[in-house]
Amino acid sequence: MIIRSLEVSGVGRFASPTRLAGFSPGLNILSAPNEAGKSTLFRALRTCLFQRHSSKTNDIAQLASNDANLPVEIVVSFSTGGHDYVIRKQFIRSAMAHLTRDGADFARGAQADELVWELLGMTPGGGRGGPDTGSFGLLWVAQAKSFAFERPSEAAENELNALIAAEVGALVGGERARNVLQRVSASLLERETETGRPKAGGPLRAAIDAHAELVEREEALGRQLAELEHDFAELARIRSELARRRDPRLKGEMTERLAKAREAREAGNTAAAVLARMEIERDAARDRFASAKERLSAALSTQKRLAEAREQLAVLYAQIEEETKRHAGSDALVDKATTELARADASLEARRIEVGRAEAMLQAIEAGERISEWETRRAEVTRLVQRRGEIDVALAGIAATPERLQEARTLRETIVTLEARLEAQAARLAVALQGDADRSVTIDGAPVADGHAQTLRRRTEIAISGVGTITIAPAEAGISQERDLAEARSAFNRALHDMGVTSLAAAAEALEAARDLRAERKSLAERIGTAGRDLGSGDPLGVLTERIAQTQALMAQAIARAGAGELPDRAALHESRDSLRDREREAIGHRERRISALQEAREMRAGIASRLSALRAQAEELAARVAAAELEAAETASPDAVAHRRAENDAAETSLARAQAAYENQTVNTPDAEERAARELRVERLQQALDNHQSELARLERDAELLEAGIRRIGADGLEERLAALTAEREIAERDKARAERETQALRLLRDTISDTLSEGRTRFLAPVKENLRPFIGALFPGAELDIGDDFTPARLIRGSGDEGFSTLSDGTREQIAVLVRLALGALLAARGRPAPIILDDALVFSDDDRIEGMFDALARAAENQQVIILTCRSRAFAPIGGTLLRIEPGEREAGLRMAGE
Amino acid sequence: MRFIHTADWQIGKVFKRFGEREALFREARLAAIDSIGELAMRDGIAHVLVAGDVYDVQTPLPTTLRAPLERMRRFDRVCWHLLPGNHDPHRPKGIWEQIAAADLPANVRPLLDPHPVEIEPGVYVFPAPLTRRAEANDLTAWMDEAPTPPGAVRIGLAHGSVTGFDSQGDAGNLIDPSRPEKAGLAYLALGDWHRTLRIGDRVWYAGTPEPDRVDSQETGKVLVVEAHGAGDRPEIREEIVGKYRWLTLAGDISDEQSVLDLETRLRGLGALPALVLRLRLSGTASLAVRRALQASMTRLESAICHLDFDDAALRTRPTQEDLERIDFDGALRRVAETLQARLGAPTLSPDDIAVTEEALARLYLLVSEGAAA
Repeated sequence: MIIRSLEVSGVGRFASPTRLAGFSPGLNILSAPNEAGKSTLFRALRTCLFQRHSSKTNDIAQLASNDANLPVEIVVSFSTGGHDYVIRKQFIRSAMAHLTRDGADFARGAQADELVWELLGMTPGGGRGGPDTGSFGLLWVAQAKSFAFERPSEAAENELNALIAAEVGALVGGERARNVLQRVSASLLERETETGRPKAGGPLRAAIDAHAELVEREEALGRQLAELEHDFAELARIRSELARRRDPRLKGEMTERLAKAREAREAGNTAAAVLARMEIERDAARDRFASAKERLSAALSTQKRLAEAREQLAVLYAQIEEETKRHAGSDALVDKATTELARADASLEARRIEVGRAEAMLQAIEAGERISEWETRRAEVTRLVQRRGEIDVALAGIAATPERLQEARTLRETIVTLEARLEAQAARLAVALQGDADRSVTIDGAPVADGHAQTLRRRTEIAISGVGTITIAPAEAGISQERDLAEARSAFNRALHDMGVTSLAAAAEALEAARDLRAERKSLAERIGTAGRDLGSGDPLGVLTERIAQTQALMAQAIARAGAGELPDRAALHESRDSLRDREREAIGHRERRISALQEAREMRAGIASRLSALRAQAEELAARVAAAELEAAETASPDAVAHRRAENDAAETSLARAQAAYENQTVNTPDAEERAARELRVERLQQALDNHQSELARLERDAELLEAGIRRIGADGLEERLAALTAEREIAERDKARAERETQALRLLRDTISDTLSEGRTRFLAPVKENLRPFIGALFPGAELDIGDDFTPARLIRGSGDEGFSTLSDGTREQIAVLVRLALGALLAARGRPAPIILDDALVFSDDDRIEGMFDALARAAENQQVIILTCRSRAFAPIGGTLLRIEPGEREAGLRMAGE
Repeated sequence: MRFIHTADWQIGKVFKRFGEREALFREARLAAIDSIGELAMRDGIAHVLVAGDVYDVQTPLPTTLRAPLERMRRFDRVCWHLLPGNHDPHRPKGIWEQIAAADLPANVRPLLDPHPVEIEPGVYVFPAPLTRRAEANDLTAWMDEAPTPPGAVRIGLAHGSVTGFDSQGDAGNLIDPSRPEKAGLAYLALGDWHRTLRIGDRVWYAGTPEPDRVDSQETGKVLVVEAHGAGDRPEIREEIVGKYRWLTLAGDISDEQSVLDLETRLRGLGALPALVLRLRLSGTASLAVRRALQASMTRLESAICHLDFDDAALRTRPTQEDLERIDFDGALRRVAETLQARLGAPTLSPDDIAVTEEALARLYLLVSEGAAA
């Protein structure tokens, strides 16, 4: 279908006939400001095509102009199926409908209404209502409706479905499948929650719970049974143990063993007591024997000691006599040694005097030799000192110093500088005399010849004979400098005078001579120091003189001591002296031997005297002891007393032997302490075993009673039978649970398979729609894909950032997508021979500049295959869209009236 | 000497898995005592030897404990000799002490000690009572050395597995099958093996008088034994005393006809109200056949005392007809085909196969119900 024109009268602000003209088959734009009547014209178009002419709905009533006297008249020209149609309808007043085809009457009234619908592929509604506008309702978007995408009407959906099914084939039986799916899902929902967990109150949960409960009860009973089994086994064991312990033979054996052990213990203890008594008696006999033996021994000992003392005393007296004789011999030996020592002393003294004399003569000779050497050194030192004095005199005569020389040199440089400067500043006088002149010229009185030239630094008078005198006075500055020069020269001369020279060269020469003299003086001082180095501090010359004098005195004394008027030869003297020293050493050795002999004799005499003294003391002490022993022996060690003691000792010894024999005999028959302890332990052990036997018997009987009571309690109520019943019930429950789980799994499998099948069919079915949608969506949202629902409504936008539900998108994006889906569906219809115009009234109000540009491209693309009509009040924003501009102009009738008026 | 040899009464056995039939089976075990008593009365037999496992558990409910005693009391001219078995061993303060303290009928004699008991002049029973569930030693060994007067008839009574015999009874409690020769027994009456079984001329298992499981004794029996002496071969006669017949059968399912054939075969077994049947189904069935099978089983469950059909080995594979029945060419058809393809996956676990089959069957059912609606 292509709309060719729209003309209204009595509609809204268009009370007079008005025409919307300029339609093209492609993109059409009606750009007009607000309240220009764009939406009114859109509503008029819909009303004319989709409403019965006889309809008087509020919408139509509201469409009428304020002047209610006018009918609402709408004329729409359109082409479809290769024919041009014009439908003219009047509403409210003088209602009528007239349809022409290719200029000829085609239908009127209700027939015209319905024929239009049929031409547009719409399904007539029941009764007097309008039709389901089908795809037109989908593609014609009223103002403020563009950002949403309402589900297409049933007719539109059917139309789209029919078109697609013709191409890809219908998913036959989808409704049945959905019905089965619904029942399966309902059945599954009874069994499990939406998250797949068993649902409370459902059969699966009930089966699981029933099984779990039975398992729990079975386990509890199983534990009870295990306890019972344990008690049975324990009771059997205890009964067996009781039977064994109650055997009277066992107790008899234990009692008999205990009695025997006690008997053995008592016998051992009695024997031990007898043995202890015998041991005491034996010890007493041993003590008595020891006392008697001791007394006898004491008496015999006293007798023996007395005899021994007497013998010792006699020996001592003999020794004292012998030592007394030896002491007298030692006195004579000491006297002889003393005499020999005196002789040795005299001989040694004579040797020492001879050696001293020879030594004095040697010293005199050596002193003479030292005096000669010192006199030579004194002469050399005297010469050096003398030369040093000469140098000191010469140095005192030289006044030039480096400082003075430097000062003179500085003054000399000042003079040269001033001279040069005055010379440079001075006027130069040149004399040129003419050859024929006969007058003479003098300067400061001195005649000059032709060609004479000089500088003029002082007042100069030039006298020219025959002419006069010319006086030339220098400038004041030159005079000052001349004075400075004179002063410098004067100072220079004084400096030379102070140094005692007449020139700088002489001054330098004097300074050089002074340096040489000082070096020589330093050398002389060092040599004088070297000459007196071993002479100590002080003047070497004095020291040497003094030493010479002293040595000469010593030599004189030595000569006097030697008693010789003349000193012998030094070598012979040495030889003589050495010989004398040998003899002296011999005398010393002899004397020392004499001293030793004397000492030895003295020591021998002292030893004899000491021994003699000790022997005498011993003899005195022993004599006293003998006297005391003789006194004691007279009382206790007399022969009678000793005989009595001996009889006592023999009796005690016999008594001890008897007691010892009896003790040893008892020892053989008595168990030792270890054995008696073992017998005691055995009795205790056997008694304890018997006690244990009794108490264990009592404990076992008690345990048996307790176990029997427990078994009666647990076993009396048919535990095992109940457990068997529970086990059987649990097995049934287990099968029921498995069955319920299998049924649930089967339902789940069935549900998923049906869902997947339907989903797959839907995907296949919607493929053509998506195919048409892809370029539109791709142009505006590169790389994105739009998922649409079964009812062609946008569901999700899938792009790089993830899946986004349509409702969560921004208003602008939703509006753009809603428009794009309409364009795609329109393209689908157009491509399948059912082109329908797309009309957008004031759409894209939320689009930004970039997006709206993309939308314009999409609209232009859609307009290549079908008519697109854009109504907008945003003339500037929609200026770039291109397309054909629609215009609102006076209708034919109005135009005709106007032409007539003109 | 004539006596009845029986064993493995298992009084108190639980049959919860049979649901409301449980009481029937419990009662049937007691009714078997009546049958034995009536048999004894009819044949003038004075002694019944019960070779162990009178009770199924060691601690039965008080009514369970007393019930068999009261049944035996009724036959006061018959003496019932009861031997503890591995299910009811004689232990201190155990079941046998409870029985002794519970007004024991005079004609009921528990044999609790391994000592010869003269039950008739010159006739001695040698009991080998168990005192625990499992014994490592042969409890009949003492019989070799136990003296009896010359010419006495020695009858052994024991509970356990014969050595060298692949017993399905409890492990342990081994018994030498040559005991009669070694101990000079005229007969060795054994319990524990639930099927009536001859081990030797003088060694028999009586089997249970009322079965409690399939794949065992089909119908309850006892042995009527005429024993003469150590050197003579006893005369043995089997007598049926049980009420219910316990069977296991297999059925191969392929199509609806095979379902009908199976039903016909089962109905042909007869005495269905006394039949306890385990039916092992195998083969491959379509969804429609599965539905028909389900209907058949429902009918048979009403006819047979207890039907336990095991279809774990029966595979469900939808046919083209099944698929078309579900949906000719639409979403549900694709669903069914998807599930069918899943069944064909070689890596699918048995559990997943069962789940997938269940899903297919449920889909088929839902669609069928929808169509019916």
